[in-house]
Amino acid sequence: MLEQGGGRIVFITSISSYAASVNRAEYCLSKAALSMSVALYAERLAASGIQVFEIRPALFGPT
Amino acid sequence: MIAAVEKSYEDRIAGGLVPQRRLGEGADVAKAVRAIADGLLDYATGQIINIDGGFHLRSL
Repeated sequence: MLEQGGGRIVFITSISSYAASVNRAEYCLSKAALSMSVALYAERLAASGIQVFEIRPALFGPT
Repeated sequence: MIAAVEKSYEDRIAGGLVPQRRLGEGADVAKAVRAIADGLLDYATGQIINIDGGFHLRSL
């Protein structure tokens, strides 16, 4: 992406990025870290033409 | 077991848990990714896009 002058990165997080579920702490912690990664990468890569987005789903049915 | 959980959510959704009154499905995420990939959000970065039927909204 740097070589081609830009691009887009999409992270799929979860409502668990900010809503605590005590029975799945590892999942919540890892999703919260992913959300912060979006902010950090977005800031770091903006000047290189790379956009970073976070898609945060919640309440999905079985597919 | 999945059916039992799904049924309990159907009841809660009917009661207003999700403003848009349904559970999400894969295509809901796919469409959001496509909007980004198609370049429809060119002047934006670091954005959080909630695909949750409005569940994140606080209301009184």
